[in-house]
Amino acid sequence: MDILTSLLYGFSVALEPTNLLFCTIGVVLGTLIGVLPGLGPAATLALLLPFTFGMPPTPTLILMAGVYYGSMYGGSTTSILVNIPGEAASVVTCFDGYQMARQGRAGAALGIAAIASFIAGTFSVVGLMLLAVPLSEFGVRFGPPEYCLLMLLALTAVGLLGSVSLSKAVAMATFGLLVSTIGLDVGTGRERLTFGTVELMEGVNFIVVVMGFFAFAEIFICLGDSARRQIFRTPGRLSELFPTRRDLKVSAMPIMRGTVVGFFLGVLPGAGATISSFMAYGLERRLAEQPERFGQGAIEGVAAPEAANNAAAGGALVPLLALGIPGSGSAAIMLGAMILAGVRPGPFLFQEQANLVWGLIASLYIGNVLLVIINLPLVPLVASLLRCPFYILYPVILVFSVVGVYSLNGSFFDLWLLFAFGLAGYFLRQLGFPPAPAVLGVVLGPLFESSLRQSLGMSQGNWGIFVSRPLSAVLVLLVVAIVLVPILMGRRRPIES
Amino acid sequence: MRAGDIWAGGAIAAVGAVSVAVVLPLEFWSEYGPGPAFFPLVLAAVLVVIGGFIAFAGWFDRAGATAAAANYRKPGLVIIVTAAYMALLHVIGFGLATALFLFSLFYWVESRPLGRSLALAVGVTVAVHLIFVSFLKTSLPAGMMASWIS
Repeated sequence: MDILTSLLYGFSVALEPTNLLFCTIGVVLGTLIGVLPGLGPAATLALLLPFTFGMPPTPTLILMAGVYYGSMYGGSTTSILVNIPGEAASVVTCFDGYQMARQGRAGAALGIAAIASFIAGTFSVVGLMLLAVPLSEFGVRFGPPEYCLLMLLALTAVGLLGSVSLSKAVAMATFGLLVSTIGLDVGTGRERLTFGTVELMEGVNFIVVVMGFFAFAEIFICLGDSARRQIFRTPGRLSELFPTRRDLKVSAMPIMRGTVVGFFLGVLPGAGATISSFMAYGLERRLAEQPERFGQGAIEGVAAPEAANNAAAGGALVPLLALGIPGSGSAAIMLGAMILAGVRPGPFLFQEQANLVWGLIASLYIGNVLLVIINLPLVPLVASLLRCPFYILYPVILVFSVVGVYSLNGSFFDLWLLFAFGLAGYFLRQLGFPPAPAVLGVVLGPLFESSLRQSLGMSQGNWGIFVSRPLSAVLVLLVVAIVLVPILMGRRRPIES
Repeated sequence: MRAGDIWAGGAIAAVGAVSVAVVLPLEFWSEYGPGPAFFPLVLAAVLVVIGGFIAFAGWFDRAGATAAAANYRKPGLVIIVTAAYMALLHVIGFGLATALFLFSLFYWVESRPLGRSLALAVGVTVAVHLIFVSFLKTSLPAGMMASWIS
């Protein structure tokens, strides 16, 4: 099937009433939860993941993709209206979006954010379609050594590029990998790190770790932050959301540049939405005739990073679908959702489950349109959610997390694990330990271990297998470069700051 | 000196050390290649080294604590109430435990008026029950009390 035929087929799947309904629900839920302060795409996906248990794969993935896009969009709303980024990628939107809101232009800022997200989201799906198929065909040549190194590459890139401290990122990634080894060894059936506990024999469900590190820890951190949250007058009518003709003219090129920067950085594991949004903002500031306007309410300062972080979200799906390698923390949770739904992303996905993957791609187009159609009129409602006091929100989120985790296996042990991971996540995050590498470690751990053991089994213990094959040698060089380049450059850039 | 890093590094190294001790009796290498101990043992050893390094670096850091002192009182209270909630879920079941949990947070932690706290706690519990049990057919803890009564 060529791409166009496949896409048409995908639309026939995505437009089935059930799938369309799940796409709509995903987009709306993603926006409504993603808009809550502190809950970014990763936490939103984590909160909703347990409720997809038992659902068929196609609607599950369509729902989660809608949530993913919706929460990205929701994050920008909090940045603009309350100066609280929903997640790291929306930090840059605060700079000018909040200033625009203070100047009484919240409507224009929200409108341009929605338009930029729509354009970037749509272009990134086109890019995903064009890149993922050839990449998956290339990925068929990968054997266990290449897969093992791909996992290492993803862990290194996501863990190290997005963190301030190299040692803390390595510690978190290693901890996540160690957690993934808990339970019965697949090869021999021997118990590992179960401490004789029956509940640990099946291992630690990655949702428990994600909910602990993101939902619980996030709440505890927010509780310690007493910063006042001020909400500006939000637009009451749809017409107030439309940027002026001048706004659109000024924002056109920043949106296009942000889309290109965001997509290509999003494809690279680890670069992700955060770096993309910072890069796009920096680029616009550098190209601007009056760079001093940035930070004072320049609309380009909203358009470019919003385009970049949404394009990056689409870009991150390229390695995820084609190679099974998540490019970001949120993509790692998407990978977990796929595995839970019985789908194994990778080179064979496009051949073996074409209906699912093309249905998902088509639903991304539909989701983008729905985001604009549904969410723009919903802005006043979404803004009113932000007015809901935090003292009501956080207990509800805690209860939802408990219900979500309990519904997985009906296990009280899982609830205590959730609590333990939440507590650990809270203290570790306070001390600057990034949570994403740990989650990635838990998700990638089983595949990483099996490909490592297969590789060493094939070579009878000879580690040279990782450099003797051309493809794996290139991957080794990439891993080494990611580790060494920041060290050789003298210091690491504090991205999260 | 960064006390937080010293404690965190120490805890990470301790997790690694305990894991090494637990995994060590397993087979590291078999005739077919790496055994069940191979991967966790390597990871645990890395944790010991990296945890030690973080603690060591924190001890010798001359800049001292750079992060602003966080407010731990409220998170601490919520953590205690949440732990009690987890324990109570098992005993008195979801409905009662959740209502108590929410009431404690609203009334005790957040110092809201008694009537409003009570109304919010009951309202949210009923709403959650309706959504998850009645609508989504999710199974929630009934608690040991339910089995004693029946």
